[in-house]
Amino acid sequence: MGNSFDIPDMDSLASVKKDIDIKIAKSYSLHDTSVRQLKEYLYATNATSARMDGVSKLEIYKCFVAKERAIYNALNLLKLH
Amino acid sequence: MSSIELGKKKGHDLLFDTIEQEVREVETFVFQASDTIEEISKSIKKLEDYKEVVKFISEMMHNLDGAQPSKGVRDPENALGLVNQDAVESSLQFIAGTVKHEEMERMKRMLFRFTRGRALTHCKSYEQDGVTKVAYLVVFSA
Repeated sequence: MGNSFDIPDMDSLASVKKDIDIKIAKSYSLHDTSVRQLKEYLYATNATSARMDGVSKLEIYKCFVAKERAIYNALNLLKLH
Repeated sequence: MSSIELGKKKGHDLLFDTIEQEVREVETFVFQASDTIEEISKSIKKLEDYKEVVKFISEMMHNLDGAQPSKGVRDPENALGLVNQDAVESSLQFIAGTVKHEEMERMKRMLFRFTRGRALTHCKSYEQDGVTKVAYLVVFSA
């Protein structure tokens, strides 16, 4: 439904606010790093060899799997019932 | 395809299994990374909510004429039934948090029924990622 929080000591509200700001900044930096790393990983995974620069490996896999599937479908049609 | 086949050093008959295994590993990693990123986003939102609540409490302190919540509740000695000086000074309890704007009225009505009108509810709206939320502070006498 929502969040409820512990109320900090009334005399230390300013320092609590400062702490939260620091934590938020750290979390944003961690978030950005994680997103960047994931992007880099996906780029690296999708990259083919240097000779085939710019060709998506996952697209090649997709075509390969589609081709294999079509072959097996055709072979299955030849089965005796 | 043949260059990938050569790169993996697998025969054509084993290539299908190798690709399946590789894609499965990549998928697992990507799902884990996405979950982690989602968790971080959630924790950022929660921290931003907490910041709004703290900001709201500090604003409200001026309007409440310096009323302080009872410290006795969070004191472990008080939980054992011992008398605490702070608890004697103030019997007020403060509860603060955030809810979605559309749920605020329902919460106010619920609080009114539970406390039989003996709770003061203060609230302030704010925007978070296009969603209107409300920071609330409930003051009641324990």
